[in-house]
Amino acid sequence: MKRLSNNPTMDHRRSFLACSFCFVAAFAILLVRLAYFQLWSGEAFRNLSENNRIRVTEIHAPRGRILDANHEILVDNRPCFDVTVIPEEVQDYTSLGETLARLSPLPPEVLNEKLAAIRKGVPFRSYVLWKDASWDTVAYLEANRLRIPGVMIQVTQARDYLVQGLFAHSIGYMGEISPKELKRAHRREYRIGDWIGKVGIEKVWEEQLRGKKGGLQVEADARGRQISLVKRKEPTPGKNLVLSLERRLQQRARQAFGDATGVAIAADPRDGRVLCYLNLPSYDPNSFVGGISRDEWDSIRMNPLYPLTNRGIQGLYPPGSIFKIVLAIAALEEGIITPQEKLFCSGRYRLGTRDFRCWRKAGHGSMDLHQAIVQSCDVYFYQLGQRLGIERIQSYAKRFGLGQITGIGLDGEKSGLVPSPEWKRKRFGEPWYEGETLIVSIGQGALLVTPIQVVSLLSAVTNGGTLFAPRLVEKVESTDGKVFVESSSARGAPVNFSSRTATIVQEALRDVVASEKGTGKRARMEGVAVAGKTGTAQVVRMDDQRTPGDEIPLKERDHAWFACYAPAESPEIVVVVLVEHGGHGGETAAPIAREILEEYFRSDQPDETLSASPASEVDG
Amino acid sequence: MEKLKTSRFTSFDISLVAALFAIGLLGILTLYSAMQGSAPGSSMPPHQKQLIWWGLGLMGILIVILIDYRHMEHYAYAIYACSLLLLVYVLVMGRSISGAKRWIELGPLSFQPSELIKITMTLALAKYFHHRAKQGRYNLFELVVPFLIFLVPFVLVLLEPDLGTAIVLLLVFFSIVLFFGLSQGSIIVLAIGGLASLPLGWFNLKDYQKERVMTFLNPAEDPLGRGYHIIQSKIAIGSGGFWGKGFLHGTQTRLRFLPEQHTDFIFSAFAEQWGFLGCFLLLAGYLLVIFWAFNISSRAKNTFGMVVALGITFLFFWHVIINIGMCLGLLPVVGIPLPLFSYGGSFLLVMLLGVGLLLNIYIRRFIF
Repeated sequence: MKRLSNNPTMDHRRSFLACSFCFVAAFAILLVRLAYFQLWSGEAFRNLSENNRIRVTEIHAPRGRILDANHEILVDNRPCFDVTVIPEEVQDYTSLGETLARLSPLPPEVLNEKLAAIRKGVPFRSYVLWKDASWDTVAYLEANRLRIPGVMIQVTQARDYLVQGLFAHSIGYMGEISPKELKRAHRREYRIGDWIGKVGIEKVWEEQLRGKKGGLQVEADARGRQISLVKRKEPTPGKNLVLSLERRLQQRARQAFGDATGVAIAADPRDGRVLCYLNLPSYDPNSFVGGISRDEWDSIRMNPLYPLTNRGIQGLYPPGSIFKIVLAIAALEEGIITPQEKLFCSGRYRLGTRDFRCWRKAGHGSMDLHQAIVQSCDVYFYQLGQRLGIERIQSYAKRFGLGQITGIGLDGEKSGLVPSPEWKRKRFGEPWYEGETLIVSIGQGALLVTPIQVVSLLSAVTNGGTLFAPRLVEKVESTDGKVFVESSSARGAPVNFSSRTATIVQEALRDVVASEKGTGKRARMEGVAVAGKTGTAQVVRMDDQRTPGDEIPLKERDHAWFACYAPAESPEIVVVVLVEHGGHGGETAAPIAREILEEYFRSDQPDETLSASPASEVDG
Repeated sequence: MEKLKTSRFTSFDISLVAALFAIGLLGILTLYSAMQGSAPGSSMPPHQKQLIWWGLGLMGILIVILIDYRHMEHYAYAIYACSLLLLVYVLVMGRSISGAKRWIELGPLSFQPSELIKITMTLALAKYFHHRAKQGRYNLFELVVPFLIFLVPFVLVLLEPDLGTAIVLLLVFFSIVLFFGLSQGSIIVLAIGGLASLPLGWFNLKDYQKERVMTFLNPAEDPLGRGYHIIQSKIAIGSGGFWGKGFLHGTQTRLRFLPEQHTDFIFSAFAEQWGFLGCFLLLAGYLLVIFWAFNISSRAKNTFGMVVALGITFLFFWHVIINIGMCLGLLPVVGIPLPLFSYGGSFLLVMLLGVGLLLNIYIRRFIF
């Protein structure tokens, strides 16, 4: 072996130099980077490390309760168990998904969607998968905690609708906040996963019910484990709502309805307080609490009777003969008829080449306004309508609040429709025919109203023309009973009619119930004089052949109306009942109205046992 | 003249020993701080284990010094072969920890042969170059044997898999080869071959390794997922500022925001607590150690000694640069520990044995 030089390193002087240079250069780069991080951006990084360290955890505020007029609790909060996931601690999403699918009420695809979203979330935050887990689920998850890392049970609060579906359409329900709602929500008061009122009073009064979230500033480690408490801010509980609704009336109305579909609304005509607001069929808002399951949702949504529809404010029906009240007032005020003038009913009224029929084939003979209202003679009102003309009919209808929302304070209220030549031209590009005026005069045709509009209308008839916006919420109270808001109903422009007109119409309405010939005699009750008007809303246009109600398929049967008030001499309560496909108002709707009135007047002497023990009532 | 030189190097040595022990002490302290708040296990806390390894390492240094390195040259291939056998052994019999077979159990302690090979490969290479020493650059044909010396452990280590160690072997090998010089033709062939094998290498990476590379290329893409660790490391280092947050006061460390804060990311834990000042001194300490080793290489009396010292120098250099570069987000995350600092007995022992070898060569620099 040949040695090249005595000192082997002499041959590599250049390499040694080059390496030395590389070493120094490499260290210099590290040092520059260090200086950049620690000296130049040190402050920024220090802030970041503080943000890392301090976790802000929200403390949800207890939501306000909802009570009925007698302070009976309708909606309360109860503790519930939420299944939550902390993304960072999950080891295997596939097996987690499989495990949870067996426990979750959510359909697997929804569960997987949620898990996928959570996976992308902040690693150490906990996300709610579903609320209100069953006791079995909680027990299973707690027992297998170590085998299912990342899943935690959190105790929170859930809404408890103590009266199930009884108030579903007025109180509504809550649900998880949607991305759209989140965008609209201001002041960063909501976050993903929060619950928010979705429908009804829960939605409209969300601001008051919600309260204010509290928070914890916690020093937490990277796993999110709480190391020490830095600061704590208590949440402000939501305020309680006291409704004008009375559970007793509502419950009685529910019983009176049986299996029928429809609406029953009762209100105080003196101030617009709504005392009863029942829609049937109903649904149980408690189903929404745990995140509704697909089956349950389908069974509600696909129900042919549409339980989610709020018929009281959204159902559009022809008012039928109830509209004759408006026509009578209009005719008296316009001076086109006197109470004494008699018009003849032969069972049909000829206009041009067409016959317009009275509901009573044989005709009513010659009758005055009073009798025409009591017996609900169609031919009489065809003639009144013809004399008034569509413009004046439309004008009076609008003065009584038809064609516009009442402002009851529920979401999704519909305005209905008061037809006019102008409307028809715009809508169909066709002229108005006089025949249509006759149809509208008896409350059929294109004229559409909601039950709540009828409540408003009838209230105005009894109270001398004040059109109240009906209200559901009486008071906003703190948990310790301090009253924040005492509501009063907004008033619309007063409907002007003379007291003489009012007396004539009211006397007629009284006889509708009181007289043997009256169509509403089945609303008669003992001790209190009831006044009202029946109505039949045509579902399918009936031509000459009218078959007896029972032989018509249910879907094609007419809707039955009954609108009444009592006591007739000084009205305290207005009741409007609509029974879908109920046939004649006098037969199906009037008895329900009577039961509600009976309950109301029975309870006029306050029933101590009832308001004192709400819990037992609820269990029953 | 000779005497003056000796005294100069003696004083150099004292600062070296000071540097080594300072690094070691800071390492133990940081290790202690990194383990605060973690659940007290039944076994010994890491900083105590590390101290035991230090003790073992210091004894190892003494033993290594006693054997003249020129005798080692004699057994270099045998030593190399033994460590290869150990590598094969772990692959066949080794205990698997999170999918990797790296460890041999030795009672309460466990040992990684892949750390040992870092030095024994250098010994074998040194022996080869010692006997083939020539003037001028090497061409590829002359490097077939050293390439095989590198390739066999490289493949064995990759099979474990231990990508970090494989990369270190690769870097040390090429550093030595480049140090000796390659002919221009060879460099071109190597460059082309390297580029061509890049895609091949990419497809052979495990998914998590690919993710790490992608994360390095764009950490902001997924700040809460894969990029999370590197961002937390930067926050820890940056938030240290000039003075640092103080020993045991690093929030990132104490609250465990750092990943692997007692091994791969221990520098970040140190930087948070000791600030720029501490980091500067630590880097200075490492540079001092590297230049001291390099200096020993340049003064070695034969090629064997020179290459052994050179290999150890590169070993230090690459470990420090890659580890700190990774903590600073300059390089992709790969499991390469910080010498004399990170928790890990085998690596500490091997690096201390390396220091022993350096001292061995250093002491015998005048003997011939």
